[in-house]
Amino acid sequence: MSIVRCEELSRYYYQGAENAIEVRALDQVDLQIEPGEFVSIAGPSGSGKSTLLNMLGALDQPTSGKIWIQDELLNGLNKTELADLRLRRLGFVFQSYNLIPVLSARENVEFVLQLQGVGAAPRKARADSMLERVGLGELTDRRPAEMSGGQQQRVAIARALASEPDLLLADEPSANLDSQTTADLMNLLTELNRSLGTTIVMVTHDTEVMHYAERQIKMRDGKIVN
Amino acid sequence: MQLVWALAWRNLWRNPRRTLLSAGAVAFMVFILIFVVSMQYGSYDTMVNHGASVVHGHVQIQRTDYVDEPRVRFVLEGAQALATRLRNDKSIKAATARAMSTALASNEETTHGAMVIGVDPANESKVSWLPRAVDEGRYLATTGNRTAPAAEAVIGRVLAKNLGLTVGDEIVLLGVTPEDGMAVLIANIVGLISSGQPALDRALVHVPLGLFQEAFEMQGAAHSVAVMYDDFNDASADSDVLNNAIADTLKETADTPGGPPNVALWNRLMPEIQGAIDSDKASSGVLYSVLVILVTFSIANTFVMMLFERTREFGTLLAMGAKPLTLRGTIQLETLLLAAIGGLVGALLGALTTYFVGQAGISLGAEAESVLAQFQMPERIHFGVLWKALPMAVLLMICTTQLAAWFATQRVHRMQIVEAIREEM
Ligand SMILES: Nc1ncnc2c1ncn2[C@@H]1O[C@H](COP(=O)(O)OP(=O)(O)OP(=O)(O)O)[C@@H](O)[C@H]1O
Ligand SMILES: [Mg+2]
Repeated sequence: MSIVRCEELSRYYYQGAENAIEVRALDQVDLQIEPGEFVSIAGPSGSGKSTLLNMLGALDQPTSGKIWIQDELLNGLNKTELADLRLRRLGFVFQSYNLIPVLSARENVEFVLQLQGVGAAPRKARADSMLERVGLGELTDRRPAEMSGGQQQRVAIARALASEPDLLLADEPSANLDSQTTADLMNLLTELNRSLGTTIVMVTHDTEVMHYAERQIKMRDGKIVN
Repeated sequence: MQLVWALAWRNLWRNPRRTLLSAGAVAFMVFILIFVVSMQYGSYDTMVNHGASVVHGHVQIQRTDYVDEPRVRFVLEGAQALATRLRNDKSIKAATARAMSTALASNEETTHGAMVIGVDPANESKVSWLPRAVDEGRYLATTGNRTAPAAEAVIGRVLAKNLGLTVGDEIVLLGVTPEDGMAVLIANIVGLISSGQPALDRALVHVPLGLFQEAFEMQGAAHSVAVMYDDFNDASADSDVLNNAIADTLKETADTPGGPPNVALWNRLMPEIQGAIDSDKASSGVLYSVLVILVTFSIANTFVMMLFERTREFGTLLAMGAKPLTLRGTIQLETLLLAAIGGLVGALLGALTTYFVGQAGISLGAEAESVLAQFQMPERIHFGVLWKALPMAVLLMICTTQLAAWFATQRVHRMQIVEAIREEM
């Protein structure tokens, strides 16, 4: 059973006066990702990378085509069911970290666990061990504003992985980081992919970053080209 | 749980200026409500108490036929016993029995109509302020243990002038007894009353009740009992205390033809005061509603702005699987804290200000005074803190801000996650 699979997936946007211009952000994409894979999606700006990732993450509805996550067809699930699916099975990492500014590193991680209904004590333990894992064992009480970009992105990774998702989706996680920090972050993702077995799909336009993944997908004009 | 409260509390201080402004608006509203409503109810107290203590009392007991047509023979037997019994009840501040009749007061040249009232001087002073309106001479001496009542009278200043009489002179009053005989009452004028009310000053004559009863052959009966309570809100025309006392002391019962005891509350005795209170409540109610709505809208507006600023944060949380209702719940919680802080500060300041200003008293200005004089009110109004206004004002603001937050955050359900995440902060 694949982790995620899509068939003839399309997403069109309509732009311009009277929505006359049709933009095919995704055009008839077929894709299958197996458990434990570390996949990168690369391609020029506007090629549809984020659009595809958002589809895989059940954040957006396709214009046509089908998506399954672990054999569950997403088409036709309602908002609440999709939210539950994201909460239980998916983890997200964004380009600009998107941490809650008033919460400490630990509390940011705890917050997602709380949404899942994990009790206070195991929540704290899991947050601490996850932060330890991403190398932030010393900084658990810091707020986002008191951390570097690389550290904040590690908190975001800890937050995404604390709930032990089957699939981690990362949209340009290193776009705001310098090259050394990027390398550290990629090594961390590689290590987590191996040790935890979490499937990772990462969007990047950085060719160097792309090669940390064992499988590279290239996109152009809404299509997968390799 | 702790995390949720911590999040709400810290979110409040993300934009301290805005939070303080909103909390300040709540505090202001609570402050105003407590102060103005306390003052308002204080003025009702003054109006009712002052009005009631001209003559009627908070409650007045008479025979039903006397209410319809005040004839001397429609007497309450046992009125004095009833007054004594009521005075001894701790829920009642004062009670006094009176006998009344119109009479002719004359000198050699002219005759003037007068209203003679037989009073129990000591208790009359506790029910009415007329005894304190004597501005020449003195009021009637208290009866003490003397058997024969003193033959003295206090009369309205204008009546005295019309009759050409003054303190020390003798007044002769002619009336009709219950048996249609001639009543003659002769008394020494010991004081003059200036009540400020022309109708009273022109006709009023107070004499000791005993003297009245002798002259009018009342056989110990009287016409009315006036009752005052500490708080007019405690007064009722149908209380156990009254009903039991009436049943125990009066000969008249519900079956007495034409004469069952009639118990009238102040608002029936002085419908003009009840009317003034009602219209004041209605108009101030409208004013408060408008104020509350304005303040609530201004707060709702800050919620909309706050939500807008947190679009990306909310988008992220929705992406991670948070439910819109959960996120809105955190804002309701923030709002609750905000309203509670504002409410407590407002209640504290409101209570303190009300207490001190109420002690010092407020002058309603020269213009209002002439209107107030109609209701026999003093020109300075004193009032206390209306304690029940505190929780009510705070609760009201908590409810309206909760509603405001609820409507302002509807948008969370319609948020497009993909767009929200991209939103620049
Ligand atoms: N909300 C939208 N409305 C209209 N057009 C959109 C919208 N979102 C994306 N598009 C269009 O869809 C196409 C694909 O966009 P997408 O964001 O997936 O590209 P991308 O590969 O992630 O680019 P980048 O590297 O710049 O992030 C683009 O042409 C973009 O203009
Ligand atoms: Mg993109």
